[in-house]
Amino acid sequence: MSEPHGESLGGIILHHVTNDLNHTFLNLSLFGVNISITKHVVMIWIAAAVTVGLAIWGTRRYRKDINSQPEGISHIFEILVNFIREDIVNPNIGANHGKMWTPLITTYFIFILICNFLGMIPFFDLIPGGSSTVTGNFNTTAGLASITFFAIIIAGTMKHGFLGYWKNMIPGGVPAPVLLILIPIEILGMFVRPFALTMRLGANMTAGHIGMLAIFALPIILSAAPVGIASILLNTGIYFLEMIVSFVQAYVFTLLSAVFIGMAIHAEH
Amino acid sequence: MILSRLLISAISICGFLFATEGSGHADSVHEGGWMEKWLSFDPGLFMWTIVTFFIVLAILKWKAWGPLMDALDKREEDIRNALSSAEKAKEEAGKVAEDYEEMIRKAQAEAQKIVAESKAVGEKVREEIKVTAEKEAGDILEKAQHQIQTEKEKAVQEIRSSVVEFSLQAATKVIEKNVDSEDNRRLIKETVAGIGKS
Repeated sequence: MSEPHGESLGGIILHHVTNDLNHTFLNLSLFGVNISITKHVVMIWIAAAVTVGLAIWGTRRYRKDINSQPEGISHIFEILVNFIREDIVNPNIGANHGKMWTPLITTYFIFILICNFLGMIPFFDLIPGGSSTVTGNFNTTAGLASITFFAIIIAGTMKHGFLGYWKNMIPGGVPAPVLLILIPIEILGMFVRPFALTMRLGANMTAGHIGMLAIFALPIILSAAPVGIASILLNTGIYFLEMIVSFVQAYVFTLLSAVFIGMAIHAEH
Repeated sequence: MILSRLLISAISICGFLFATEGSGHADSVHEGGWMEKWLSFDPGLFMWTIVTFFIVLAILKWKAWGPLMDALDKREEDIRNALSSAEKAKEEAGKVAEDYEEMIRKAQAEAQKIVAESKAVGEKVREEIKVTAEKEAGDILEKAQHQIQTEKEKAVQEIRSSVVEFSLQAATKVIEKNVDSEDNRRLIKETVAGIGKS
């Protein structure tokens, strides 16, 4: 805080949207790679615990009795799983592959959604080490997107065989000179898809936070306390917008993953 | 890991370009640092994300989504079965009702037939009895007439022979002498026969 105004505000904003790699809870190393437990790793674990806890609690009645009727939170899980299966997996991947891919796609949605929402609970900022929105960190979103990347390859390989999948990359009936351009584009496209997933989720989740922090910083920048009331009102509105963004981004990541997996399976374009 | 490095380096390059674009003033180092920190590659977090996600996926697939999807499938199957069995039951009920109607229709037709047959038989019997009775009556009448005729003829014959006898006796008594001859006797007989015929 001893720094000039601009820098200290930049520092605060930075602190709230990034993971502080210097603040570790446990220093770990695997084959020379630093895998220390930073705040975002802790947040991921909290999100995982919440996800698993909610899902296990919400579906307990189905483990006891397969014929049980939904009640309370299990309504939400039934609607969620049914929606993901009927409206995301079946139209994009196909009903006959639904059983295999629905768990992955459902887990994407609920895990990302909970990560997004945990990042919006101010309480988690009390944990030292930086931002609490793990999905605003490109390392997290890159991790999730690389799961999609391998899921695409696995889905294509399972359907068309190892060679068949790679052969599908090359469109049939195209003259050889065009292939010289097309093959690199196709290979590039293979990497661009998860890259786009990484950027979209990470940037969207960070952008809202930066916006909110900037608005909260207004009364400090302007040195005018009454502006604070306006910024609180504005941020309350943005907070609701952020909730929508959390839902939409979780849905978009889920939907696009399903679409990409479906494209690998139905490669006859 | 290679993929993540590629991804993060690509993002870092973008970030670097973006940061250098606005580096016209003294804050440029700080701005660059901001971006760099935001986009810095953290293999630990990358790995933990994947590991945690797979653990979550495995647990949820095993404990949550599996049983839930099975329950949904089971319910869907049950509803489909219930609907189809209801449809089948409805069809069967319709068939049974149709059978009953058919049976009733048949029974009615049978009853009508029986009544018609009985009527016809009754009529026939009545006709037969009537014909027989008429015939018998005719026979009796004819017999009686015949008998009357016979009796009448017999009586006439008897009367005739008695008249001849009486006439003969009377004539004999009256004209005892003349009637001895055959010619006279024949004459008298003819006369008497003439009387009977007139």
